[in-house]
Amino acid sequence: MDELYWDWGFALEVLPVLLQGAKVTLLATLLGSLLALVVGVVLALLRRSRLHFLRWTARGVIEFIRSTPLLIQIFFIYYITPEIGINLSPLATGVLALGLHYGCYLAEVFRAGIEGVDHGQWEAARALNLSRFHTYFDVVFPQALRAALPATGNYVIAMFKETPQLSAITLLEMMQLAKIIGSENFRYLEPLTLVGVLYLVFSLIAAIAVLLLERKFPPEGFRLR
Amino acid sequence: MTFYEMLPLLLRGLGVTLLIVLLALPISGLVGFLAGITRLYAGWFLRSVVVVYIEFFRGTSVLIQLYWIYFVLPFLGVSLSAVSAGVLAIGLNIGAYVAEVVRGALLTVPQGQSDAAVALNFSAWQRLRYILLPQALANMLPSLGNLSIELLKATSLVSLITVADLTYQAKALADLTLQVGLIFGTVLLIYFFLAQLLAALFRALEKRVGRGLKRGGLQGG
Amino acid sequence: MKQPKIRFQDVSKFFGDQPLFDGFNLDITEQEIVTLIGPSGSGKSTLLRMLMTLETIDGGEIFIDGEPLWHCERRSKTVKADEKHLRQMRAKLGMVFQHFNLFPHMSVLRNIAEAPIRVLGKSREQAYNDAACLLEQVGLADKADAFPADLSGGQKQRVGIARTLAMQPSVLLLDEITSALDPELVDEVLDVIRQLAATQRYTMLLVTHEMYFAREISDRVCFLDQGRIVEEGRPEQLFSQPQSPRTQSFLASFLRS
Repeated sequence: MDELYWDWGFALEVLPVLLQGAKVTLLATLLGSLLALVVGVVLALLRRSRLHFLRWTARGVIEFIRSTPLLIQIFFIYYITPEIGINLSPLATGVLALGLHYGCYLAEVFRAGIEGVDHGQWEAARALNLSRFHTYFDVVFPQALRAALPATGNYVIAMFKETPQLSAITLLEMMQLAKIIGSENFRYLEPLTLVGVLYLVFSLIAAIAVLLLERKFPPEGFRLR
Repeated sequence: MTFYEMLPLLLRGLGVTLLIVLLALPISGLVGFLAGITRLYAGWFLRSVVVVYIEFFRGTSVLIQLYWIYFVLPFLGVSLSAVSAGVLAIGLNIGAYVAEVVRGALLTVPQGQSDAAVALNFSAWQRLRYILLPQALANMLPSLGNLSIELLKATSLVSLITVADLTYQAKALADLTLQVGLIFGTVLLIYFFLAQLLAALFRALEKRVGRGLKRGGLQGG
Repeated sequence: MKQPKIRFQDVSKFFGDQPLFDGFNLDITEQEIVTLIGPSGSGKSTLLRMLMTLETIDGGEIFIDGEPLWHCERRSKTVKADEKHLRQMRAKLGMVFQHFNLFPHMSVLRNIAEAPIRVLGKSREQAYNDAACLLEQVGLADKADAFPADLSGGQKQRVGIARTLAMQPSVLLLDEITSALDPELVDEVLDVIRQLAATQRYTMLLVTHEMYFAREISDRVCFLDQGRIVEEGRPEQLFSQPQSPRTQSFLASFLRS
């Protein structure tokens, strides 16, 4: 019956192992976010392309990826890449899946941000004879990204919370380690609870970080370069 | 193995997925409405319980909650079948998000509506049931539709606690036949189709609820 | 002396740490029509809202028919009013709002009949019949099936009045009921009130900026400034010969505008 009780000794024993896993989790989140930012911006621009075909393709891709489970997308990439001759580590697979999945969410956020930029800004850029590139990078993006900042932050946090799914492709992140420890010791209470608490703590820190970021970047926009 | 030989397995998996969606959807709705309303109107004790529930379930991820319910609860004397654990975890997780949607939508109903209902001597429950919720519902349906798709997507995680749902069957077949593209492609399409179905369902609901309101116009009061 | 219908006794009310009312007193006798006038922020609407229990009070007590509004007897002890007591007290009151606050998701007829059905327990048939009568009384018999958004401001407010009357209150609280209306729609609403005042026996407490209307309908007018009654009296007296310089300048500013 001693299983019913929380064992501090055991908890303290497994905590360092879990924190090792946390590094992998955070690394996957960081790389996944960077990829998602790039994917998001590209898809958002494609959604605004002058070419009908590009617009609709981007829209279809976004809609499709957003409404199917991340777990299957992870499996899909994990199984298909060796078949087409690419060997990706579990981490790279996970980053790719997370980046694509959340890139589609971010695309909609960025698009709303770009469309929210005042029409007069575009006209002013044209009046100054700025190229399309400079209009986007010097005028529109700094304003649009600021508007998109809170939602972007929330999606990064959401992505962080989905990293446990990478345990399904044997990535040794927190969750996978907790499961291994649990099955070796026939004791899941401490490792799984600790993982939960760690996620809660990290989410909280991240939420505060998003607030601070919002404060650091003024609503009037900021310099990109 | 040909596609036609795989089909029965996939369909059986689809059945399990649908079962879990159909069970978890009402649970998340019920829990979400209760929690959202409690968070707004109940006394401090119930309110703090609900806040802890909402923040806890939104702060960690479904998979952790799923594992916790499936692997840890038995140690505490509560053994659930894998399907029950899945339904419970997903229902409670999405329910926490529903709660926030319900709360937000209720807050958008103008103060004057509640004032008028007080002045007409409706009870607290009647104010909520007949005046505030019908108006808030129109505002919350789009978000609830999105959450229903999140719920559908989350059901794929039950495959990780050995429930033989669509994702589980797909992975098993992929391991067996190595026809990865075909199998996952098909399964992704099935999920996509189900998601579109949910979206259409909620759009229809929105139209139904919106009809009276649009005639009335939300600003019309 | 007859017991006042409504009594504000030493009522205080704070917004933050700023007192809006500090020891406010006002008695209103049965069937008296009292109008509150004064600059914005003087607390006129807050008085009505405290009486309607839409705002709490921070001190003192409000009595309706001699019964305290914010306290009640439970197990022979005086305690803070509970929902049950508040609902008993609210049954005597009806309030019409500046912004109408009609329920946008209900037809005009249902707006009026809903509370009698749910709160008074009237039969559906009875409630709809009564609602139709009230609609006729306010001149909107043909709008029974319309929705609030289909109505003009003046029509909305007349529905608002009918909805309040349907609950058969003995006290009517009218909170700037014409302030949100276009000028040409004001009179159709005021006519309804004029008729009510002439034919029925309500106790009325009004807040209004229509001075000619206040003068014509009121038994008593109170000039409120910064949470105090600066001056009160019969309308002809207060409007023609205001005693306080504050009242004079307030009324003068109205004449100018």
